[in-house]
Amino acid sequence: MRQEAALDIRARRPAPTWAAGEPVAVRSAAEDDLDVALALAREGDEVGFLTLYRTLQPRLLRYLRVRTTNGADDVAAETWLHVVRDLNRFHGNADDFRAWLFTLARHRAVDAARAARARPAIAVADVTDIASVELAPSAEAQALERISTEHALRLVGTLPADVAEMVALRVIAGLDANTVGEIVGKSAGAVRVAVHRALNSLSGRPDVSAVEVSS
Amino acid sequence: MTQDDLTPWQDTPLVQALTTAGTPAELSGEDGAMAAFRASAPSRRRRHVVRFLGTGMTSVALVGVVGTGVAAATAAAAYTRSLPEPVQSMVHDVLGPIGVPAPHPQHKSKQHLLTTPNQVALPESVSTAAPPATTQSTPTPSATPSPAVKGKQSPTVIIPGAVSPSPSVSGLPSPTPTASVTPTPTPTPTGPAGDPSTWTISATGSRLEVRVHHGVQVSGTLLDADGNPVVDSPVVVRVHLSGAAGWQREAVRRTDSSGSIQAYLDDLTENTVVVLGAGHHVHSTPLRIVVRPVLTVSAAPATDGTSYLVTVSADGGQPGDAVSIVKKTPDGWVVVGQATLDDNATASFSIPAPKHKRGFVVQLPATKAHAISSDRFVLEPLG
Repeated sequence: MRQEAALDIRARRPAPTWAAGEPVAVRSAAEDDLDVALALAREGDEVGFLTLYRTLQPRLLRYLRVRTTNGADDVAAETWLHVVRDLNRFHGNADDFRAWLFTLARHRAVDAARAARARPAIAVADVTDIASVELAPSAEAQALERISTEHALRLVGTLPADVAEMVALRVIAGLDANTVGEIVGKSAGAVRVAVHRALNSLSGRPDVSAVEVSS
Repeated sequence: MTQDDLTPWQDTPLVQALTTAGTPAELSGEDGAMAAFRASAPSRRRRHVVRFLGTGMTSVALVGVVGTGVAAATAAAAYTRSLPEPVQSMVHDVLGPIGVPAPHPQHKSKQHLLTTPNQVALPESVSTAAPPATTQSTPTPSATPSPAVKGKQSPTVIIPGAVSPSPSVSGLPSPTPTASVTPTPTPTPTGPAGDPSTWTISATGSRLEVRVHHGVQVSGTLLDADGNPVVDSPVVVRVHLSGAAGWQREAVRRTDSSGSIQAYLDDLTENTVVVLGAGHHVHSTPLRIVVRPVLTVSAAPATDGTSYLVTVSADGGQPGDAVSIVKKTPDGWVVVGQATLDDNATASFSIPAPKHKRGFVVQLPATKAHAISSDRFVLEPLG
């Protein structure tokens, strides 16, 4: 006989970390409407362009911070100049635009790295070595501190360079595995495997799990 | 963009930190990017330069008001090398080939850009050389067109609520080196509310989230260039549904004595963008309405006696949407089942019966058509 009542209705409340009010994974309105914003921007609408910029610039900058050792802001600015210059000729939807933007940024970053190698800078101040940054604070500090975006980026930066870039493109940029594969020259399956392993590895770190998020 | 295979990590602090909203520091280059965008816009675009004023997007509106001063002055000021160095540099990068100079090494201030926002009218054509040095005059809204200047209307940058550029302004910094191109007056006759192209319309709120099948009251206010309400003027309510190619005319309302209109959008089933339009390229900022699906979970013991058949119905979900059931373990959230919605927006799972009473979370990730939705349920041991 079919037995019902396995559900405890009284217990059907939002889970603590997936609160019904503001679920953590909810897409922003700008992301939802990037297609609209893109269409408006291509018509010269400043609000449309502003929406694109405000939605994608933070992620672009974070990707570049993972991808490059310095000058991320300059590379991002150059990327947007390229976007502004060629927006009229761009065809595609918001996902295509996102892929185009990060592809441009990657090319700019490569150019910047070449230029930096050709004209090596001389450090005149103390340089923070990312590898020496304390990544595993004490349990007490861990309980008191919250993981910040900067800390998360440093964590991603500890991955092998090619994996870090795939994680950045997949998670930060929000590109799908196929697009990431096209950008970095790997198969979509390889991207998925690498990103999953990396996220499992990073999420399992004691300084990452069970902490809140702050920007 | 598909994020399906990242669902198990969406809730992790690491991914949240990486994808959290941008900080002001990360958006510090906004002015430069906007200046470049304005400067690179072809002439056909300039007619659309900011005429928005959305109460729910105050920041955007402020950018519009303050930034429009920059916008208004940017292109012309670029030719006079009057922009702040970074902005001048960006504009130079874009328009350098047509004559915008690089930043002056002794550039000092951008103050004049912000103190004379309504002095600038951009001629339709952009010259290929730097303009002659000219003095700027302050236009007045009551100025009458000079009979000596006739012809095509010049696109102008309008600041909502500010005085309109005088059509008779002759001392504007013209980017054109030739004397034959002169800023021309606005030939549009102005009625009691002035030039309609200078009106502004605002829509209440910038983003609303509603449960599926619920409705939203949309309201807006139409003001003229002086900030006075425009009475008895038609306003078109246009909606853009997720996945749709264009905009649909949803309703037409006439403004009341306070310049306001109201419209009710009923039975929303997918994300919708609403824009109020008053004609003459005057429209509000987009009002985004995000629809949250409602999940219904039912469970019954399977015939094998060792598992549950869990059925998730997602009102507001679409066929093909991914649904996940997860449980929390000491190591974090673990996915115990994934499925996609069928044509009836239903997904079924076979979940092993727990040894102890246990809570689960079912999640429908956000798509372009709807917001994320989640619910929690508890399964008890069988037998």
